Amino acid sequence: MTDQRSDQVDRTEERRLIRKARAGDTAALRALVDGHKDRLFSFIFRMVRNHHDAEEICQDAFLKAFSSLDSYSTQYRFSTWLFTIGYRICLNNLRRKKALTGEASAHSIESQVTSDGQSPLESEDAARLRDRIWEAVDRLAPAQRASVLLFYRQEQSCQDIAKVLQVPVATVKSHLHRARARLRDALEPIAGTELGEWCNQAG
Amino acid sequence: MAECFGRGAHADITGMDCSQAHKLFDAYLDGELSPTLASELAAHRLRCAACRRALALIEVSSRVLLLDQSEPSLDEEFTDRLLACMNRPYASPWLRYRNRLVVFGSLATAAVVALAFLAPFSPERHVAGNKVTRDPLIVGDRSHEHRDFSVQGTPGVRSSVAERQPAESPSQVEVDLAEWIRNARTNIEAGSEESGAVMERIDLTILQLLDILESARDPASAWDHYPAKDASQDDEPGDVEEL
Repeated sequence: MTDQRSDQVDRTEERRLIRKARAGDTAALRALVDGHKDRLFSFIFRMVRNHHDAEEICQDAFLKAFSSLDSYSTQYRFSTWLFTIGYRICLNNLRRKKALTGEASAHSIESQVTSDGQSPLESEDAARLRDRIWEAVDRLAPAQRASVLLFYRQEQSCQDIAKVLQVPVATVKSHLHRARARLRDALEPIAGTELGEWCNQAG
Repeated sequence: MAECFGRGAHADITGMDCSQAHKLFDAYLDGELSPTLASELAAHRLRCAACRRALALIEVSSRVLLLDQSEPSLDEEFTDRLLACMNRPYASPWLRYRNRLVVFGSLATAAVVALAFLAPFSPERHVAGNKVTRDPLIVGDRSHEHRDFSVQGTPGVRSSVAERQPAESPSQVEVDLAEWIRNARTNIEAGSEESGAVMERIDLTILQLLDILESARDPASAWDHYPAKDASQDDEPGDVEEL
């Protein structure tokens, strides 16, 4: 019940900000940007795997969202709408890259940034595990990758993911099913070492 | 115990087997399993190392994906830059889109008006000594050739585009205008990267349009100026229908 009420308050505040943003209130625009930019950038960066491109796409997504605020319906969350726009721009970016390089986007990925103590996983084994997981995610098709990122990283429901990707819920579940199989296959070879004991004891 | 995942099912007396458990993995990971089935799956998981391992691999992945903080973040000035971009004309992408639409729309309108204006004027072609009117003005069963692009004083001749037979090929002027529109679009899109170059490119396309209009009035002089790629086609036999 507390979560529901909190969500209601958030939605009310969001609608207020959007009303003011439509009227050109800069403070409202700033609040909307600051409230969503980090999550949006995180998602876009993991999709395109390039810092410069991710920042540009993030900026373009906000600009497009604000330029068409009049057509936005407040029955949807602003984040859902924003992520939908961001996802579309990501797809265009990935298609352009693929056309230029002739390679899958996964092969032009930047090297992983070290955690520098920010992640609770600090050992070499943990870093290797993390790298292997992200490598598997990067090899997924864009729609599967987006589903995994939105479900696990952004903690969105299958229904919300379906709105972002503009596909049926069943399609989202199919994407997640395939992505999980890929992740499992990617970790299987190392499950006997770093993961072995943990997996056997889990549950 | 034969508890191999995907290799035959082990049926417990009171619980589910591996194949049944496998079918519930996604619903369990999506958080959509009923309490009863969740309990059954949990019980099977305790007994079956293979299923325990398979689920654990995915759960480990999900934990890492959720908790990893190794990606870069936006700098603190991102919002300021974004808001400044919104207030700046031409440098803002969304304003560029809108301005591109306005500019292109205006140019396209001008092209359509020019096309309607030039419809009566069709350039003549000379093929092997025969004067052929590529876009004849047809009224009834008669075709009429004209030298001076003027339809005045010519009884029974209409110059309306709508009255041309649908099977006719477009005139050279119409072809040039269609190409001009394509080039204008390309120029505008190319110019979107540099705000200062946009107007310069628009000026260039307007000059090209004027060149086309001039060529329609006086083909002998205008074809020298306008770099039409099909200009040499005029001298090739067989390209123009004998009407």
